[in-house]
Amino acid sequence: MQPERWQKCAEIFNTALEQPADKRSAYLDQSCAGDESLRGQVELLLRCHHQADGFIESPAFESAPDLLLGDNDALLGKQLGFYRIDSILGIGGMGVVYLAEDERLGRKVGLKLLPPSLAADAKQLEKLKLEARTASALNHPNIVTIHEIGEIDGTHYIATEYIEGRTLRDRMETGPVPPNEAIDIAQQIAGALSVAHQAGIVHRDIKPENIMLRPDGYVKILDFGIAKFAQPDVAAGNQTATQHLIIGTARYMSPEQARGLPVDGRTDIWSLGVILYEMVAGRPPFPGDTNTDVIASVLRSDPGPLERSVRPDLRRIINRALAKDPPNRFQSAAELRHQLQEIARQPGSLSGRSGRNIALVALTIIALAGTWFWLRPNNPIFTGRPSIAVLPLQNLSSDPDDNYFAQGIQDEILTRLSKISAMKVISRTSTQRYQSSPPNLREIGKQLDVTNVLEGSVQRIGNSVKVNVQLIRADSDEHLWAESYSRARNDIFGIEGEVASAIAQQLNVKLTGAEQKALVNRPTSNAAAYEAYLRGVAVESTHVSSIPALEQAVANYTEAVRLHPKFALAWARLAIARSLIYVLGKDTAIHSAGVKLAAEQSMAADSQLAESWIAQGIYRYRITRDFTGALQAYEEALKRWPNSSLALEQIAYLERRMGRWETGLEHHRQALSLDPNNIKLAEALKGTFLISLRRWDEVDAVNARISAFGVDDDTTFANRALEFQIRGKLDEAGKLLAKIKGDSANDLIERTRITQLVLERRFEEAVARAESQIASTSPSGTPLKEDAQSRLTMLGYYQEWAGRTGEARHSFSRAVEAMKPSPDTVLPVTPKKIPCYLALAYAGLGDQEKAVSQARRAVEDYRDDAVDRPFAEWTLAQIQARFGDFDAAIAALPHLLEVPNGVMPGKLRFDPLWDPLRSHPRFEKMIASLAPAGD
Amino acid sequence: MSAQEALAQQQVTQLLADWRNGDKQALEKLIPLVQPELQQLAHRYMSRERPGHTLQTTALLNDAYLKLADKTHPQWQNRAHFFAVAAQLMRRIMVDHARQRQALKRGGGALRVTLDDSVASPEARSAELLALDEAMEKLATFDKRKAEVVEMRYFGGLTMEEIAEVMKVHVNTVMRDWKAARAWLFAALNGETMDAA
Repeated sequence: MQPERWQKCAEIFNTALEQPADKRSAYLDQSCAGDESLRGQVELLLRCHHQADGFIESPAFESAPDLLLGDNDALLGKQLGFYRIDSILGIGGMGVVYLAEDERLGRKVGLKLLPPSLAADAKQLEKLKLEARTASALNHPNIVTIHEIGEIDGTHYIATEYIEGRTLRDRMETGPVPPNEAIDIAQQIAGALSVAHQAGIVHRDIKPENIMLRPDGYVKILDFGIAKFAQPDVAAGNQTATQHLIIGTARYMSPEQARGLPVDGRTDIWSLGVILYEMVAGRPPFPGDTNTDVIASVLRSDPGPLERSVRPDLRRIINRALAKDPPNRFQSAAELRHQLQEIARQPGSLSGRSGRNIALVALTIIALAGTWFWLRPNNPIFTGRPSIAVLPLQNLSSDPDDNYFAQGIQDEILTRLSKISAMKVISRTSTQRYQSSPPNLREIGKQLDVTNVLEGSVQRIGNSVKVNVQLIRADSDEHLWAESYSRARNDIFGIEGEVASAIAQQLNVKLTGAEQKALVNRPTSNAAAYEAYLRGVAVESTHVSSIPALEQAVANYTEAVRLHPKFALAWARLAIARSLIYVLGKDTAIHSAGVKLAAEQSMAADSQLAESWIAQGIYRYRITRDFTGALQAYEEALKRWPNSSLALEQIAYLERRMGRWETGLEHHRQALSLDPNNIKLAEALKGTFLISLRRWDEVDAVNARISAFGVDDDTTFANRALEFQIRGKLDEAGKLLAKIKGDSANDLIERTRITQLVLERRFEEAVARAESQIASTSPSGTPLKEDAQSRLTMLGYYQEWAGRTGEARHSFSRAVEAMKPSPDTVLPVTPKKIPCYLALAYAGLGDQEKAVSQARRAVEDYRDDAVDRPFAEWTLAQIQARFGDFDAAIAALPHLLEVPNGVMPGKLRFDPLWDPLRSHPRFEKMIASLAPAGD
Repeated sequence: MSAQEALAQQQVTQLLADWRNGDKQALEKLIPLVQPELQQLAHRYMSRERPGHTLQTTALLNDAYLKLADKTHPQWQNRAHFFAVAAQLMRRIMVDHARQRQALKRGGGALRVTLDDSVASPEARSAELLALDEAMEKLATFDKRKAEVVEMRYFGGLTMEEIAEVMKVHVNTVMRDWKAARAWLFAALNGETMDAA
């Protein structure tokens, strides 16, 4: 039909339809204008239109869905030439394979129908026939024999030897393939490949679906010489679309194949490498949601590391087969086969997956070498429990954004385990420095002082999540237990609890009823809230205590509780994250109110949750300074969470505030034994306990340990310089400060530099530095921040000592003005010790009465604070000395030199604030009696 | 983005352009890229107890589209490209299956259009589908647009509005095309050819 004529015809047809029925005839008369042929055509269309009601009205895949997927069953019982189709054997690369009976010969055959699109291409079809016959003619026991390639009524088919058995895919789906079985299968495949490659035939589609396992142990490769013809056109074939198969088409493809480059036998070696990996690992080396994702991974990513349980020589073989560049792979299948046969002969350390060896686990404690021994807590309960480190889980999802998922799940498993009192569980901060599936488990076991390690992976495919975990004995690499969990994404809450329960069971750990409950407790039933929560946890676990990271975590937790207002755990972590920002000094008003609210909400939602009590403790400690209440809260938390290094650390600090230095030290050591790689915690042990207690040998040991981490940076140098200053070793402090780059500055570095200048009596330089430090935090014209208030007071003294009395007076006045309480305000007692500095500022101005009374008040203010009370006490002594009350000042010193966190030897010796006492004989005697600190 | 990815994207973009310009080969190369998602879609569709209506199918298609567009193929600039490719692909798959089934038919009964799906045997349905495919090929020789409307509607499950969006024409135009094409196809399948006239 001519397009123009048709257009006209259709136009008239449509317009006619729009006319009322009684006017239609008249319209046709007019529009066809005597063209009877045209009119006849339009009338035919109109007639058909009225008859065609329902015709192709609903989509084809609705009226004939079987045609979309290919209704394979439709062929059953049918006859194709001499073949009677009996049942479906399986689905291969080119479509469905049927079991058929060759009625001429009375034998069973595998019958495969070629996709019409392939059959339509005569040239391709010829090539296929040639190659298939060549491969079949090899007569190799591991290659399926082709009986016939033929055509009936336009349908092309291939009849092959019938193999009884199942495909390797089916075998793999029933569970992990033991290494010796995997090696045997792979070497049979490699043998077949070797012969075929020598004959110039490349399979190009080696995958588990194409490998048959016969019950007698023979492996048979299907589709040799055929498969590659199917590849460009699988879409047109009748491949039944299971997700599995679709991914399978790309999953075994070599990089050169994926790029569309020419391939040779080495592409089959790659595919066999993928199969071998999948058999021993139980997961693909290049995961992905779609073919495109998989291909991207094949081209770019390294295969995920294999489990420890896989023997090293097998790992090496797999890695070599999976070299991206063909020249780096095995150059022949014969070579690969040879190596597989070699390792099959050596038993090696094939993994035993039984849990029978568990009796051997547990109470062995690896002796810690060197200087770290004394850090171990004294409590034997703490050292005799089964111990475990939960290492970072590998994110196997194609989307790197899913990292948070792996991190969050690891954190949850770890946290749940750590709530079991009969176990020692290493804290997250100490496990995060290890990669997932690390090679040196024994070393890690020693570093963390644990017997067992949990490692694994998390993979998200679309809406499902797969978690693989394995429990390994660190000192022997012995594989104790492995499990794989698959869940819908919105149903993942349970996995962590199940994993934790299984581990407890494997390690023969007895659980109390409450522990059992906490282990499987579901923190929320809202999937979106849980995801937001996991994101927050992941942010915190990857960025320790930086303000932007904490703010991100706060945002995530806030979203979580918005989605689920009764989400106690999210509320608790929100409180903790906010408290950290508060302590770091950002937006303190907002965050103090936020901590309060979050802690209350958490407790209201679940008062049995350990984290609710941690949040409560943090609120009482950091915000309301209610030490007794905070300690009670943390003790409640510890009852529910015996391995909480956080609770232990906080308890330690509180006991210290309450003057219980020794129990505090023990708790802090327990915290560190749960978190041995946490350098900040080690620094804190040193800074808050060991130095305060003047235990210089132990201080040196911690320093050595911290140095061993190789993290010496400017802050570490400054910290250590500060230490030498208070020990009176000004030279060494100076050397350390000289190591810090000139332009490197933070609060600590600057404070230490200024202190050094003052102790060395280089007052002019101290004044200059102190002035610029104050200007940088509180520019002129803005109100003085608390830090700047105390610093301005000290600047006044530096100026005075430098002989700038006028400037000194000005500084003292400004400081007093800023700090002086108005009648209706109370001086903030902490954390900046403002009451003490106010007294010092009054003293600088020469106002003895106000200075002394303010200092006495400060001593009173800090009466219940064992940490800061000594500072108030020596401030009073210094003020008394300044105004000539030497007896009172000297009388206070013996106690201050004894009490933890009191006056330190270096300060007494060099600090100009003690100068008024320096010529006094009793003071001189005291200085002389000081043992050189730490020598 | 790696050089390879950039290259792949360029290729896909080029293929889409080629295909829209009538290069049939381009579709062959595009199919492997969309095939997994469409197969999955078909599977989901099949697994529904009650055959769904068009709306659900479009939603599923849309899912597949978003998946490709958002994650894998940012170069699918609009749903139009994707839906059109999807419809073509579905047509190819179904016609291939129908052809295969016809190979097994015995005796070669005469074609006859059945209007009632429920009584049609699988063989009859595959015969109809092949006949329809053939008729659509013929229609396309003199009215490509109307043949495409049928393809998108019947094989792709698109609504009239969606087809209008794809073809960048008014929905009334699509409606008129559809009616005329359907009438013509019905005539053709019933052996009433207009060519002789």
